[in-house]
Amino acid sequence: MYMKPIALLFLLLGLAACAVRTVPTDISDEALIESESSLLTGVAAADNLLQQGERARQQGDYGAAVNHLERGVRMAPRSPSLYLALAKTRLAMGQYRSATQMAQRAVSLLPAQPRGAEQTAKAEAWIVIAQAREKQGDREGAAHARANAQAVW
Amino acid sequence: MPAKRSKPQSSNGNNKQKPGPARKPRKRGAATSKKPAAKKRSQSGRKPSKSGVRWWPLLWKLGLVGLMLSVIGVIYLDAVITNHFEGKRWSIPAKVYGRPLELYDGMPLTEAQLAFELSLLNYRHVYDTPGPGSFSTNQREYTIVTRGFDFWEGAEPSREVRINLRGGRVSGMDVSNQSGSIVRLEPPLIGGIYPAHNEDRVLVKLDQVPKQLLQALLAVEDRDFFEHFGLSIKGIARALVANLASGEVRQGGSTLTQQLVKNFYLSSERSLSRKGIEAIMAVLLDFHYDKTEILEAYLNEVYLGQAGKRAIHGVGLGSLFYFGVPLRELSTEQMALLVGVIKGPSWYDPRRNPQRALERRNQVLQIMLQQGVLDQRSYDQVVQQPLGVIKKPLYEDARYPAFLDLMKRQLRKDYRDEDLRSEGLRIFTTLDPWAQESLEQAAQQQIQNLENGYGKNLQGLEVAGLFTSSNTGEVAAVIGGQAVRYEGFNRALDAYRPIGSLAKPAVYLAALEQGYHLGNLLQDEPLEHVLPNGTLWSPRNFEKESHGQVPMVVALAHSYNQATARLALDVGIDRVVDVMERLGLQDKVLPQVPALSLGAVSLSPFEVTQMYQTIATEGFATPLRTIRSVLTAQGQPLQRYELEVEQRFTSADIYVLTHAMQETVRSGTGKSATRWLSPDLHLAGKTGTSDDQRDSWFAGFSGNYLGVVWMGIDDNQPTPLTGATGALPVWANTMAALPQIPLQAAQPENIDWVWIDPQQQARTAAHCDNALYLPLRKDTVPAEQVSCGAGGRVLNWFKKWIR
Repeated sequence: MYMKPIALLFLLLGLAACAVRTVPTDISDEALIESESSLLTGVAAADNLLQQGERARQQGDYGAAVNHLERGVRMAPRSPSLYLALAKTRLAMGQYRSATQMAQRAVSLLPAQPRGAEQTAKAEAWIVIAQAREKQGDREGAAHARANAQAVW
Repeated sequence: MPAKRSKPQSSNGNNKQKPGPARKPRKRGAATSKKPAAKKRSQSGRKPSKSGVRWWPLLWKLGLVGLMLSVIGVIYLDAVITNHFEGKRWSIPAKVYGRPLELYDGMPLTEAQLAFELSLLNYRHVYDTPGPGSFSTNQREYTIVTRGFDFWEGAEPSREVRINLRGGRVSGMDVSNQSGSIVRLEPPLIGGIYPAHNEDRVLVKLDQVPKQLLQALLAVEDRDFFEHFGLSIKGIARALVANLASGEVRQGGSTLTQQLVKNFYLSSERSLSRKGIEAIMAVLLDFHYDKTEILEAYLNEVYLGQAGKRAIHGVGLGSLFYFGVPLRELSTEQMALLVGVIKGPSWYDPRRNPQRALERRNQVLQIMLQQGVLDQRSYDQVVQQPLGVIKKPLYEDARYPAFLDLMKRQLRKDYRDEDLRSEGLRIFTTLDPWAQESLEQAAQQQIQNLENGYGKNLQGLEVAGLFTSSNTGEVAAVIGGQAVRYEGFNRALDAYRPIGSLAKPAVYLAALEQGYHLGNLLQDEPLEHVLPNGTLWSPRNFEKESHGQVPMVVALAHSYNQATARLALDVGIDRVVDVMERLGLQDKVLPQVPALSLGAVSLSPFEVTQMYQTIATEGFATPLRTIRSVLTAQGQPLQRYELEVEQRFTSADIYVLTHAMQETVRSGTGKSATRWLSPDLHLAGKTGTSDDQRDSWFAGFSGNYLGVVWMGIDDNQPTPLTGATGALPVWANTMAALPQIPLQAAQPENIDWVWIDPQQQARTAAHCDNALYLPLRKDTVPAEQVSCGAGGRVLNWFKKWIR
C-alpha cells in the first residue's frame, strides 16, 4: 500500500532542490523528531531560537525546547516552523493531542499552495498529525492525515 | 523577672565558653550545654551565704528558686533563638515580574518605547562609557549595558549592546563578548504577594553586599562587631560618654547582634527587662552562630522604610526602594545614606525629609572618613553629591492592580496562598509595560475628552479593557477602571455587561458553518418574532432605518440588527449558542433566546477577550495566560505555563468571518479607526452598543495584538456613546502606540476568492458594477456564472456601503 508513495518519494528526492526537502510519509517518530526545519521564520533572532529549540529536542531536553520555541513564537508569532517544531516536541513528549493541535496550527499558518521549504513544513506537519493520531488509535484519521501529507507535492 | 536577674549570669557563662573552639553553630545541643555552666554558678553562689545569719535558709531557698528560674529562662531563650535562626527566618513574599524586553535585530521598537522601558528599569543616562544599568546615546544609536538576570533558562550575564533605531525598528545590533543575537533586559518588578505583616524584602547573600557598605555599616552601628561577644562594653561606654557629654540620648550602645535580636524576637516595647532579655539573647546568638551569619541576617532583617502598607526590610530591597538599582550598583554616598537611614527610617526618610537625610548621610560619611573607610579625597568628592534617591520607588505595588488581580486568580489555581506569601517564589508574567502604559493613557485621554465634550451629560464614565498577543493569548495589558491604580472593583474581570453587537460575529460564524457565504442576501426589514412564552421580539436597527436586501458582509460590517436577527432565526439559536461556547464561553450558561444574537448576554471584558481570541487565532481556542513561569527563591525552575491551542473552527470559516470584520474597520461601523491606524494593517474589529447605549464596546485585532475595550457607567445609566465613539478610540490609540504586524491570514486550501453578484447569487466578472470580491468556502461558491447586468438594470445600491 505504501509502495506507491515511496516510489513517488524517491522520485521527488531526486528532484529536490536545495531548499526543498521531501519527507517520507512513513518516516519513524525518531527520524521525524530528529528532523530540523528548513523553513525560516523571517526573523533572525527567532531562527536562532528555532535552532536552539530543535537542538534541545534532539538532546531530549523537551522543557528547554518548548521554552526556546515559545520565545521564538513571541518574536515571529506567525511562523509555521516554530509551531511545527513545537508539534514535534509534543510528539516526542508523548503528548499526542497537543502535538496534533500544534501541527494543525502550523498548517493553518502555511499557504494553500506552499512553495519550497513550505512544502516540507506542511508535509511534516501532516505527518506529525498522522503519527499522533496513530498513537491515539485513530487509524482512519492517521491515514487521512498521511494522504494530506502526500497531497502537498 | 527571672530573665532580668539572669543577665550577668549568662553573659559570664558565655564568656567562659567563648574562647572554646565551638564558634560554629551548635544547634540544638547548645541548650543542654548551658546547664553545667549554670550549675557551677549555683555552687559558687552558695559560698557567701555561709557567713551564717538566721534568715540564711530563706535567702538560700529564694536564691535557688531564682537561679532555677534563670536557668529555665536561659534554656527557653536559647531554644527560641536556635529555632528561629535555624528554621525559615523570613516569610519572603512572592515577587512578580513583567515580561523582559528582548532586543534583537529587526525588532519593532520606537524611541518612545525604549525610553520608557529604560526609565522603568531605572537605567541611568550617562555621557561616558556606560556600566551595568546605564546607557548612552549618540543620535539614534543607543549603547546599553544590561544588569544581567536569572531567567528560567539560567543566568543571563550583564552585556553591552549597541543598537540603532531606524523607522521604528532595531536596525543593526552589536553585542559585546558573546554570541547570539538576543539580549534581554531584566524584567521589571511589578508587584508582590505579601505576608500578613506586609514585610517585604529581597534576600541577599553576604558576598553580594559591597564591601564598602559593610564597612560603613560597622563603622556607624557597631565598630567592635567582629571582636565582641554579642554585647560591646566599649560600645556601651562610648555611648554613655557621648550621651553624658551631650546631656541627651544620642547614641545607643546596642551591637548589631542586639539590634538583630530586637527585630527578630522581641516586641518594640521599651523596658529594662526587655533590654535584659535582649542582651542575653544577643550573647546566645553570638555564641551559637558565626559573625558572618549574624551580619547576613542583620542585613536582610533591618527595617529601612515604609511604602504604604508595605514595610521595606533588608538592604537588598532598600537599595531598590530608594535608588532603583541593585546593591552592587550603589555609589558610596548612596551606601552612606542607606546606612544612615537605619537610625530612623521615618525621621530620615530621604523622600519626605531630604535635608535631614542629607545631614545624616554626611554624618555617616564623616564617620567613614574618621574610621578610615574613606580617604579625604573621596570624602571631599562624595560629600558634594546629591542624595541620588529616585522620586518614586522602583515599583509601586499598586501600579498594575487589575493585571495583578487577574494574575493572582490564575496563580491561586495552582499554588497555596501561604506559599505565595512566604516562599519567595519568582513569578514571571506576560505583562507588557509598554502596552499597559499605552492602554492606560489612551483610556484616560478618552475619558477626559468625553467628559470635556459632554460635560454634565456624562458623569461617572468608566472603562475597562484587555490587550493580548493575538497569536498566543498572552495578556499584555489590563485596566479595570478609569482610576488605573485603584485596587478595587476590577471591571475587566467582574463587570458583566450586555455585549450588544459583539455577539454578531458568532451569528455569522454559525451561518458560515451552515453553508452561508458572505454574498448571501439578508433581509434587513422589521421583524416580529413570537417567543415561546408569548412575548414579542421585534428588534430594530440602531438608526431606526431598514436597508432592504443586503449581502451578509454588509450586514455585519454595518451591524444591522434586523438582518442579523433574521439570520440568527434562520440558522437557529442553538447553533449560535454552540458557536459562542466553542469560541470560549464553554463554562457560561448562555440564554437560549433569539435576543442572544444581538448581544442580550452579560459578559465581562475578559470573557469577550477569550471569545475574540479564538477568532484572532484563526479558530484555535487559546487560553488567556498571564504567567509564563514560576521559579523558586533560589532560581530553580518550578513550573512553566505553556502555550496550548485547540482547533474549534475550520480555518476557512474563520478566514471568511475575519474578512467581514476587516470590512467593518475598512468601511463599516469601525471606520473611524482609520483616523489612527493605517489601512495597510487590514485590522479586523467589531463595535458593540447595548440597548439605550448603556455599554460601548470595541473588539479588534491585528496580526499580533488583540484588544477589547468597554465603556459605560457602573449603575447602568444610558450614555450618549456608541461602540465607535466610546470604546473604539481607546482601542485605536492603544493599537497605534504598539508595534503592529498587518493582519494577513494564510489563505486556507478550501477558499476561493470570487466575484459575486449578490442580486443574482452568481459568480460574475470583476469589472461589473455590482460585483463583490469575496472569499468563499469552495463548497459555497455558486455554480452559476452571469455577465454584467444579466439581471437587467445595473444594481449598485450597495456601492454606498462598499467603498
